[in-house]
Amino acid sequence: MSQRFYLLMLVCFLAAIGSSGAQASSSCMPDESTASGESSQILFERSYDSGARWSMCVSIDDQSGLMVGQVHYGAPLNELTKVLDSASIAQILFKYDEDTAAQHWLSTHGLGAANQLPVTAERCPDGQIQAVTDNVSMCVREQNLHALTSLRNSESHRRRAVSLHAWSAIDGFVVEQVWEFSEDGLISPMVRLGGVLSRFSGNDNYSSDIALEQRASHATYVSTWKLDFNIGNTPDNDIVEAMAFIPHQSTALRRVINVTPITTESLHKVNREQFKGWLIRDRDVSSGPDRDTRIGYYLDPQVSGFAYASRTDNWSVFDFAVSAARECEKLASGNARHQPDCGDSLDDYVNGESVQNTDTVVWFSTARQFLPKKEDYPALLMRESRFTLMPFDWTASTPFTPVIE
Amino acid sequence: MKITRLILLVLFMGCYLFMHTAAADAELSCPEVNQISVQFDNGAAWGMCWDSRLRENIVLSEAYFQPADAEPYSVFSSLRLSQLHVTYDDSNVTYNDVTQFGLGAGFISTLTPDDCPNGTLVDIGGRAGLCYLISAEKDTYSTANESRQAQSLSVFSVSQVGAYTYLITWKFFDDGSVQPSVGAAGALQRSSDDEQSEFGRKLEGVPGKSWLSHTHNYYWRMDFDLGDSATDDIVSEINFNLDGDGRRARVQSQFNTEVARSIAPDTMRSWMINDKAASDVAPGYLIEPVNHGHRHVDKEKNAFTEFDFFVTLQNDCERFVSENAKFNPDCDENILQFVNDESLVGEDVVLWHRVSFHHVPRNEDRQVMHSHWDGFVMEARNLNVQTPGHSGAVADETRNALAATGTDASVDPIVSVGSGCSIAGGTGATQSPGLWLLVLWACVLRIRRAGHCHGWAKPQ
Repeated sequence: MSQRFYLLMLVCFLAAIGSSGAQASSSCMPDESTASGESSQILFERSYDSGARWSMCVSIDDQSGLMVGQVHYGAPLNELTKVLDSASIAQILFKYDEDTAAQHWLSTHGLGAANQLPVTAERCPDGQIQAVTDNVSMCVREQNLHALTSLRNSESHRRRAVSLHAWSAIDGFVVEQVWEFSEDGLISPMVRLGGVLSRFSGNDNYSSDIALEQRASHATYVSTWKLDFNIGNTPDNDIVEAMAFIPHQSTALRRVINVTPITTESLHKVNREQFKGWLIRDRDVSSGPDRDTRIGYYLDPQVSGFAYASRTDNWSVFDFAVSAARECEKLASGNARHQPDCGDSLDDYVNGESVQNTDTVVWFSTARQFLPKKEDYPALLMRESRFTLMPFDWTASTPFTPVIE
Repeated sequence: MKITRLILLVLFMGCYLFMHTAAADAELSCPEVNQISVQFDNGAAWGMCWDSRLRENIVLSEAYFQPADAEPYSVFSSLRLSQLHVTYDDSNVTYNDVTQFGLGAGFISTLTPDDCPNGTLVDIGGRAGLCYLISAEKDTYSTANESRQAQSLSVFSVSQVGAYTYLITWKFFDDGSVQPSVGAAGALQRSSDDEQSEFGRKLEGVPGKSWLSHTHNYYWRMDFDLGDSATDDIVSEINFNLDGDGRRARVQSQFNTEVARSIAPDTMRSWMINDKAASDVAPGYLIEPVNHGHRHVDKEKNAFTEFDFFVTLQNDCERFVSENAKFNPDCDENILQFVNDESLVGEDVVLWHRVSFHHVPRNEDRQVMHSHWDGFVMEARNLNVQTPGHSGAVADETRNALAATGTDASVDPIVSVGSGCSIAGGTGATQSPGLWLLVLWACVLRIRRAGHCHGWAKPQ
């Protein structure tokens, strides 16, 4: 890499550092009330030696727990650009396998308020405890992802990430909410399930022997996130597209890219054999000189190996949903309990309305099985549900190394 | 007093000798330079041998896990990436990167100290070709009152195949779990001169071209040797079947002959390998195919791609999922031919698992790709007798739940099964007498301090 490139990087980095605070803080006022009026938010920013930057608001909601808003990403040599207006976990359905109905944790208990666990030094080793409100804190961890990016005869580049953590207690379980933001623009929301065993059963079909006198109950759970994209800070012109790769008529090995805009509110499932994924992009803003592409984020459902089944919550058997943004549609289910003038679940929100030229929200769910083992006593080993949002054509080429034609 | 002191001395020597013997059991047969051995903050340890081969590059062998205060436990006879397919969307050609090119020898990238922060660089053929390091992970457990951060050992090597750079990585966690993964970086290999190609995407700044989408199909080969015998591992499949009322019942079926199996998302199908018995409490590993949002299937030319998981008899010449006969002429050509109904009962078994990733080019892939990672987790089960590193304190929620079932929760249940500081090895009946000496010793100490022996000194 040339000295000239390094110098350019340094100049841009210094320029960016000098302006990032003003850009971000213009839309995130500390102590500003949220729509629910129940929590306040703080400004969180992080920058890297490469010049990459993140800026966002962080708050704790009574139901959703750790929320991020006004999320901006700036790739090296690029200005901060808005990605999300708000994002949070929107429901956790937890169902013991021997039960006929699921528990709706966020609407029944909530991850915030009294269920929020204090962040202690033990809970946040190697991290920084940062106050979100007078009473509530989060843990901020810096990580080296040990993820090399390298090319023969070139230098390797290590990728770093910052993650925000908050913990909540529900009936003996502990729900760790994590938002991870990497230097190269990836956003990884996570729900990590811990706590202690709080249900035992005598039925072999629905429980496991863990060498106690009672068998520990099996469970299934699905985590659903709500993502209000606002790419480029123009809420009404985001486009959601389903990208599938259809086997060609000549041979199943040849695959034709098929891009289908989603124009009405709808529920969708993964298609594993067609490698389906979803792209959320701006209609107008391009990062390149040719304007062949538009800036966006890609949701690749690579983690969707399991499918949830439900006889009562229709929305929960789908992996992905698109709806028009409405402030009161906060939770994927049980919403009317807290928002009486609003629909109760995604099954109500998704009713065929147009999502063209309007602020659009996407919802993503991922299911997991809980199969207890000896190591889950006295404390559960953590189970993790996560997925990744990847910047897609956010820059005209990689911003981390010069392009040599 | 003198008698008590004598008993204590004898018990101490017994425990010392036991621990010393246990360590000796974990001695590896490979030269010291090929050994990797680390201990974590929670007291657990991993040890293994490494080797670099022309085709597979890194092959790990004799891998054992040692929980804290317990004897080493054999887990794997060998581990390797067995094939790496690349199939471009515009053609019917599948590249077999491991057997057509190889990941070892001249394909290995030289690592620098920056690539291996706070780790150990290992020489392969005269250059730094392998790194291992310990990393802090997220919480291993987290309750309302107690939490502990996990650690892992990463062993990785980097191979350059064409324009692609593969970061072949094995992560070994401090609870015994293992995560193989591959990071794909480098540069996009192929483009089309048709910028409107329906098989790729036109990217910014490259007029007249489109960059082709493609699939990476990763196959791993795991020769498990759980415990003291290589021929008593049991492999089973778990499905959860939904009944008319919404209940989901577990159905677990043992494999007695070689099989090829596909994922079943609706029943959350997973696979388990256990030592000696397919029971809930036997030490073992669980593979849940959650990273299967994509599946590459090519029934016409590569019928084996219809399946995601295979169980075969261990056979040294069955090394590669495809193009195997090219290097093992006395053996079959591909994995589906290895699966030929041979009995698994009382035999050494091998598991094979694949993950597919479909790569859609984006502007950021030019010219140096950000690494994209794929892999899976082999979740350790019952290798520890309780939550590793935990104080042992039982939460009220658990006591109340046990009480609700009629179990006397007034006494710490872990005492009632007599497994306070033991290890894996199967059921309580197989636990080492040396550890019982430790229990007895602790009781003697407790008698001396409190006048009675009640509860295995677990802080509450």
